[in-house]
Amino acid sequence: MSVKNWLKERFPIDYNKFIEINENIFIKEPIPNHMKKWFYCTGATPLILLSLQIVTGILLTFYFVPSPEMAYESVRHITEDVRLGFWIRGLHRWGSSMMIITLLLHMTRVFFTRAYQKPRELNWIIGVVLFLLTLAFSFTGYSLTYNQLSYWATTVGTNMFKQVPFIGHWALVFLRGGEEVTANTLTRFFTIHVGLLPPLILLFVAVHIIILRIHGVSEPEGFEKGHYAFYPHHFYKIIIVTLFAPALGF
Amino acid sequence: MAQEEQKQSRRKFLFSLGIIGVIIIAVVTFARDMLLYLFPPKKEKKFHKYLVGKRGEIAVGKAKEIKIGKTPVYVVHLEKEYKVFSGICTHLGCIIRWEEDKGRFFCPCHKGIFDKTGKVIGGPPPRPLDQFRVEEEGDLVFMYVKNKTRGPWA
Ligand code: FES
Repeated sequence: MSVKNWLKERFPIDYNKFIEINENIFIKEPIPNHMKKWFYCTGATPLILLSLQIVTGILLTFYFVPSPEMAYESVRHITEDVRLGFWIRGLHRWGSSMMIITLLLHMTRVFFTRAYQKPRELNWIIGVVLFLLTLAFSFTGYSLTYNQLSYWATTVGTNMFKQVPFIGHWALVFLRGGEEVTANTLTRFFTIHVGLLPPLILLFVAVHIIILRIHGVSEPEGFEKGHYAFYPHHFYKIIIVTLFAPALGF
Repeated sequence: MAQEEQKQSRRKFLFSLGIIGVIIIAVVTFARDMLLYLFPPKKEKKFHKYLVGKRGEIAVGKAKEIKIGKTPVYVVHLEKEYKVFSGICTHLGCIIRWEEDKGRFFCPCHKGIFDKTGKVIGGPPPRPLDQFRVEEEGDLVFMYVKNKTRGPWA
């Protein structure tokens, strides 16, 4: 019996239908004509960078040790001793900056083309949440290298939470795991960075894309009406735009 | 007409072949780099070689102190061979000294005593003195010290 039949018997769904549905979702998605301009293609860039961050981030946890004595030392070890460690860490480090920059580009585009207007307000709000999540990623990730700069950035950053009325002090103690920045803070930030934030951001990204697909991309005036398929034109376009962002960064 | 269609399709074919080829190369390279990253290379332990004495320089049963960095090591001439002992007491890490008249090592911290073969003969030390690898080449005696690696990633 062939593998295909074996699988079909144990997972009985209509495979032709399954392929057709996926084709419609991923390959034949209708893209409006104005998306041929790169300025309208910046939304997929942070998404691709996010997947890159996930891959390189997982790889980094293979060597990173979140303890005050070892954090800086293990980052040094990754950068200097581990084969291609500098490359993985560099991708993760610069990818994070690129994510912020491309998110700002994307938000600028949405803002100035009024793409946030009814019925897409909810998606704008989710987008802002995604931006805040990315900032949280950057903040917690920055503190993990545990050098002087990041230690004091953590101290100052968590201090700001103290100014929040009523819950400020509580938030500070929660983030630092005590009154001071200690080993507790480091392990907390590590857990938040690799355990808490990734599922959250993936969830919000999924909702963001689902809402986008339900309403379709907003179409500004002044462009020829019409659509083309996601693959190949748009597919390659977003890859090129994504590759362009780090190229600018480096 | 027919020819044109054929040309078109061949061009398309070559184009997608190129694209797919490039994608495959990229993915394979990426996977290879990730594997390189995940599997640390086998490292030969590296030793540093020090000249510690000449034959005949140290009388049988006597020891000579040599400083490597801040810590002393002792080269002892036993009947058959040379031995090099670390000068750090195996109890709590004080620096031992060679007592020439008694032919033994003495640790002043808690009165640990080692004989000239490094064995504990008195006091609290739990194990004999640490030794270094020694090799004789012609008239010269060398010791080998393992190169230090930073951190716990030997
Ligand atoms: S340290 Fe040498 S005997 Fe205690």
